[in-house]
Amino acid sequence: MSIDLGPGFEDRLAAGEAEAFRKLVEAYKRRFYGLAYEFTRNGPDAEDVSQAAFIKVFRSIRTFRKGANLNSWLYRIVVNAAIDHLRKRSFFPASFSGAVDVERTGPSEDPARRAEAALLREKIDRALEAVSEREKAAFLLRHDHGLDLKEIAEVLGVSLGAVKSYLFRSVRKIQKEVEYV
Amino acid sequence: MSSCRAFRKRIPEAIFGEMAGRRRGRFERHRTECSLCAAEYAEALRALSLAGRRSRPDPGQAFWDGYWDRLEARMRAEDVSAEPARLKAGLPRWLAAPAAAAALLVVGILVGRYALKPGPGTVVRPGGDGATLIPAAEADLGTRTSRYLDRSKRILLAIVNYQPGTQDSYGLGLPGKRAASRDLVAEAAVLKDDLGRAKDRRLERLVGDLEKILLQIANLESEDDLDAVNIIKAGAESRDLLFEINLAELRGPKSAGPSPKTPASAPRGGVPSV
Repeated sequence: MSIDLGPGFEDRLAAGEAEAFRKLVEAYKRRFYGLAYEFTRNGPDAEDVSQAAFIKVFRSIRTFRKGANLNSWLYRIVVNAAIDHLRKRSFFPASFSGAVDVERTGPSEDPARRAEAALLREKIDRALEAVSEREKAAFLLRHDHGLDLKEIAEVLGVSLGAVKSYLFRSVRKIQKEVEYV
Repeated sequence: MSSCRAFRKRIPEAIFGEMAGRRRGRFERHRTECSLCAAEYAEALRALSLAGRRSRPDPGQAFWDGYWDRLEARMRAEDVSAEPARLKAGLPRWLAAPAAAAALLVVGILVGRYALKPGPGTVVRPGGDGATLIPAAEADLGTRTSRYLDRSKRILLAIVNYQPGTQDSYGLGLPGKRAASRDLVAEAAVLKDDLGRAKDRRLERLVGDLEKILLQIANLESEDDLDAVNIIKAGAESRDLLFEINLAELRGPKSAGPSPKTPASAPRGGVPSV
């Protein structure tokens, strides 16, 4: 699901207009952070990855092909930044707490619902740990971020058929994990 | 059974609303007819609905309010600046790709004309698409056959060992395998011809069998097409192709009938041991 940032936005962004870049950050910061969080599983790393992705966007905005899908291009950058981060982190595993930290679903929710959400989070995390980075990304981009299969194929640089099978495998894993919930 | 397998593979596609028209009709028809598949569909739907109810990160409003300031501070600290537009001062962007292609073409012509003249150790082999230049050493039928079998074996091993359900299909490198298979299929006709003239029926038959399997690999549309991959595996196994290749490699050069394209002193139509 792409965000409409108004007519001529891409041109203004490509021209290096500071206001356009800020508008982009405001529009995408929650999405970038949310996706990065799914990969890193902790707040500070998620912020670091999302910021790194925005910096990459700023640096390379002039290489963005006019008429191409801005949404896919942006997601491609953040997915790559998250995967890069994970690969670097695998060299320094001690820095990873592994725990879902103080972040929460919202203050208004009752404790029972919050406990259920936490349990589901744990199970989905476990299922997504068991699939490849691409399969995980395909699932998150479709389920959480509403990208269509063609956009996901563009983000991951694979065929439509490959995206379908990534989704199939990730959904199967989740299905097994939540079977007795 | 196979329609159940195909149905289950398409469940996420259907749930995510990415299926329409006749495909959707077939899918829904199968769902009403097969209770096991209907249960599987319901289970996947439930799992995805539960996934949607998992807790989400929400670091709070203060975090979001300060996000831009922190990003800006980092960009300043890292002295981030936008990369210059490509060839901005010279060519317009739309002209960059054709200009690069033209430059490459010119370089290619020059290299072809001056650097790749056929040397004294080169022979010309006629082919369907025109003459092909091959080094004299490669003109030796034994060496050519040996290379053909070796390349075919590598492709076959990759496909035979590939597990579509559990292995990341990216690792298979299908586009490369397809291109290599196409080359080998194209080469098979000439090679079979030469082996036939050298009266090496065993290798001629093996190359013919390999040609059929390689053709299937060349036409494989997706590494995730489980049925097609299984047909290829079954074909390779039923003809014992890997075993036959290993046997041919062990046997070494054939003693009968010299190759018409090789000098009398060169190894004959069989495969030299590797």
